[in-house]
Amino acid sequence: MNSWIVKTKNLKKYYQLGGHTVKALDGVDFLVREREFVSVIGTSGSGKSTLLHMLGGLDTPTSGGVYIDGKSLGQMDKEQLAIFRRRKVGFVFQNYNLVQDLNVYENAVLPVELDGRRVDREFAEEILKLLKLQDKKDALPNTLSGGQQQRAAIARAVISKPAILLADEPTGNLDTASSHDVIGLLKLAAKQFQQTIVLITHDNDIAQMADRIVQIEDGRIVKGGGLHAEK
Amino acid sequence: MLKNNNEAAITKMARNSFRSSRRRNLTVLLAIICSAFLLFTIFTVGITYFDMQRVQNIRMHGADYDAYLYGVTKEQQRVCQEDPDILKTGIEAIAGYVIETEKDNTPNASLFWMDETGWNEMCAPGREWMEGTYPQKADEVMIKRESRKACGLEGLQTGDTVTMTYATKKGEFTKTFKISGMWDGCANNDVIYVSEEFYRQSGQELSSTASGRCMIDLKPRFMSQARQDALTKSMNLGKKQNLFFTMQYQTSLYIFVGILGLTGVICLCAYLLIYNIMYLSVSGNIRYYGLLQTVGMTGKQVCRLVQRQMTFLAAAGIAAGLFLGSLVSFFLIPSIVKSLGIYLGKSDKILITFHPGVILLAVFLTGLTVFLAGRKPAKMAVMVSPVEALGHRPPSSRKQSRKLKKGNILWRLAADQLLKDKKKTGIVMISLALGLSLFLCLVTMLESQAARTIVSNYMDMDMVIKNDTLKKEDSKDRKQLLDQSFLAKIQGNESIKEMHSLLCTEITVPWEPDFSDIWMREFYDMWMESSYEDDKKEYQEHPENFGSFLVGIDRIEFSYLNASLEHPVDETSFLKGKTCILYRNGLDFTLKDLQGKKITCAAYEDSSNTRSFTIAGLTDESYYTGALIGLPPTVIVSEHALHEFTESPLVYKTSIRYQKEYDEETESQLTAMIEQNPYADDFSYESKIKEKESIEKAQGHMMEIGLGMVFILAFIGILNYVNTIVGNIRSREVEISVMESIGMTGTQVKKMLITEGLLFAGGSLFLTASAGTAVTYFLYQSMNYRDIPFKIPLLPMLGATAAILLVCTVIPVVSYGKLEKRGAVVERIRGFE
Repeated sequence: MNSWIVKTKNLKKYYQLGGHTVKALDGVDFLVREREFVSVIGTSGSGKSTLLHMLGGLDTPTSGGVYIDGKSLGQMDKEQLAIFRRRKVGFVFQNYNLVQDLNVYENAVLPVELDGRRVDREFAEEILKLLKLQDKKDALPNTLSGGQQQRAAIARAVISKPAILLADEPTGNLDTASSHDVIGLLKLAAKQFQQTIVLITHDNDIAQMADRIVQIEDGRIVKGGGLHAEK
Repeated sequence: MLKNNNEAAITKMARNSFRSSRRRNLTVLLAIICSAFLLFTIFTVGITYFDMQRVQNIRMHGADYDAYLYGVTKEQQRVCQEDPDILKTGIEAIAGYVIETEKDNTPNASLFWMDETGWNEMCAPGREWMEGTYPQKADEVMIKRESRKACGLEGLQTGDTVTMTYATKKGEFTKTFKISGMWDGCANNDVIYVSEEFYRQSGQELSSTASGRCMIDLKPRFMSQARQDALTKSMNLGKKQNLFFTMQYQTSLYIFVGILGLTGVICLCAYLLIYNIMYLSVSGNIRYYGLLQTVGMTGKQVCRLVQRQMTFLAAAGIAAGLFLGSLVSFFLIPSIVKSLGIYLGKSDKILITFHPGVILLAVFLTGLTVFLAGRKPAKMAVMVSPVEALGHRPPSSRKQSRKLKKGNILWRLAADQLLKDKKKTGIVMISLALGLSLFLCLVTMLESQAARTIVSNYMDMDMVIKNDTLKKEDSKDRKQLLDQSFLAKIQGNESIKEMHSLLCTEITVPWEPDFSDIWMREFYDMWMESSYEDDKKEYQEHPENFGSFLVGIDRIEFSYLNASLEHPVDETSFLKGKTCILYRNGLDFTLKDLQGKKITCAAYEDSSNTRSFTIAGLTDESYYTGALIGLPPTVIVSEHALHEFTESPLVYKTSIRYQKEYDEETESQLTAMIEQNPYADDFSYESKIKEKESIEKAQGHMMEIGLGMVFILAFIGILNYVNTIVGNIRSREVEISVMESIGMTGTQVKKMLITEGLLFAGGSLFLTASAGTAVTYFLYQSMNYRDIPFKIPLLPMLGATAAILLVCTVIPVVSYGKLEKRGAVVERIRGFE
């Protein structure tokens, strides 16, 4: 059995909203093994996106810890977190969040360039081909369909061969056919590069494509959070 | 369709926008206040300057005129009457002078006649008080009450009689005059006015430059040099005649052009800023304007909403700007006007002219600038499609694709930002460059006109000591004050670097047909009232009545003089004493007319001692003349040649350079030396320190005021930059946050933003270095009547460059810092979603 790569311990995230405390995450213990594909489902406002952001170091917890590949994110400063993100994590957002002024290729290789590494053009081309974007590498994001933009976002997420792919409702803006296409490609890429996927979705069909489903409600994991809750 | 009265709703929305867009409105308001303030100030300066210029003219000349013609023929009087540019002309003419009165043996008074226009119209503004009438009869005079003593008429009143001995062209006469009136006012202190009849009897003629003067009041407040030249040409002046435009009239054009230029720059700066802010504001609020249209607001109403916002801002800004302008005018305007060359005397104050036209013009121009700047953004707001607006994301490139670019990623991202919206980038760069260019222009002008530059211009010596006894007509009264011991004492001072003495001796230039005859003929033609033919015989027989000076200069002074000549002369021949250089003395000779001719000089005291020199050059530099300039030429030869000619030349002046420029201690030691000399009163000196002080005094607070104006304009430019960068970073909040989410560190974001800032700064510096320098050079040369070489003041420009670089790099970093404080990366991304 593979060793774990993602671990949270009593993870809490509280917000103050209009004098009330909103418990977005309320003591989440969560484990993901290497090369595992986990989907997190839950209703709107259940805390699934917050959990993903915590895992990616995009947000800081109120208390508790996040450990990725044995390292505690809580002990990293902003700069270290940014470097951690570009080396260890690949993000795929619902709104794609591509840089509008860069073409598909430039968007894809951006994390590598930001890391100051030489871009392996062959590898980049291979990924674009895998994601069926070889003919669109010069295109700017605003000329692409939703599915194409999301595939470009996946290309950007996998280009630096991160250990973990964090996908936040990646099919939220796509039609059914494109959604299945995108998840298929995400899985394919993860398999090819031996990556772990944590996918947030509210679509049960999409969630079924994962190795394990974790259900979260009111900031707590109600199903599948532990190592024994495998599908 | 019935028209809805929705003005109240639109006004309310426009008012509400002040709360929601506080930063934008504050910036626009500041820009409008600055523009209204600057426009009001410079227009008030302009109008006060022109008013005070008239007052100064009247105070100086006692009459209101713009040009003065020496000698006036009937034909020229006709030309003056017919020229549409000439408002009126007045005649004043010298009839003679007073030799003696009953009360004073040596009175100091001339007899002048003035025609009716001159007296009643042109001199009227300069008169403060008058009683009686202007003389009508040949035995009537009019005197200035304050100058009665000086004119030898102390204690006399209107109606009294006085016996005076006076001289006219016809000879000396003694006659009793009745005082027909008295006056008081400006100028003309030593003048006794006589009647036209007296003038007619004096034998003088208006056409003579020694008598007739025509005061010309011009219709235009200023004229270009070409128009002035055309007017001069139309007068068809005789050789001795001269038409002078008053100094103030000549500078008026520059002042007017300067005001026009500044007005243009101010309006342009304000336009660029307001346009940019409104453009950014509308393009950043596309969703808002789309929503307004979705809920039923028409395009017209959206347009009116934007215009209403602008109207509120314009009204408030203009009112505040004018109020501020009026407030500071009381101490700012007099200072500016004085620094532009108006000086009315110690007791007189500059009266600020508050003209309603100035206020109207400032309001109109500021309003027009705001209207023009807000027009396009208002149209943009109207063009927003409600459907598109709801799904709108911050504008990005309209291109379909782009080729892969090479180079550092941060550099590329920064350059992309500038190229994305070239218009906006251009506006910001131009705005910054305008402030910088104006600074360059002002500092270059001020530096070139600055005391040090001007006084450094001639041979750059710190002090020139003169022996004034050499100005005495009688050679027995001349003494060698700058003798060996005196000069040795100066030389012995360790803080003196070098000194040069200008030697001279009085000579005669005997008549001969080949040179001296030609010279004297031209001299008489140019400067003398009498005819050369009348005096020729006396010159031939008694050249000692026509003395001049032979001047000796050392090698260094020669090098300096030679470098200033249009056609430099051969050094060896000059130093050996074979050739000489003549002082041209304003005559119409060219070198070609005289080069190669021989001039013979004879010692004044011993006419048998003669020496001839070949004429090699002509100079207009008056430094090298002797103490007196005679009718024959001043002959400049080498020191060696002068010593060969005479054993005891006199030292006329000694120029001294200090070890340390502007060394006040050395100067006080030298002045003490002069004061301790028994002939202290017969010394005079010119000093660079004294000149600098007087020039600095004349310049007043020009530097401070000019810089103040530049800083306000630079402030507008910087406001534009700040606003653009802050707006830009805000509109890229998601993009920056997304890049952070995929691993861009804060340091990398800052580096990218600093690179953008540096590119903005680089662009504006490039514009300043190219277009700004070109304009400065053109302006500089057009006003460079002293021929001072064009030089960019390096230190101030380096300072300005550093300031721009600092602003351009600090603002993006500060903006990003604020953005970071708005929450974690994900919160910023979510904020948009």
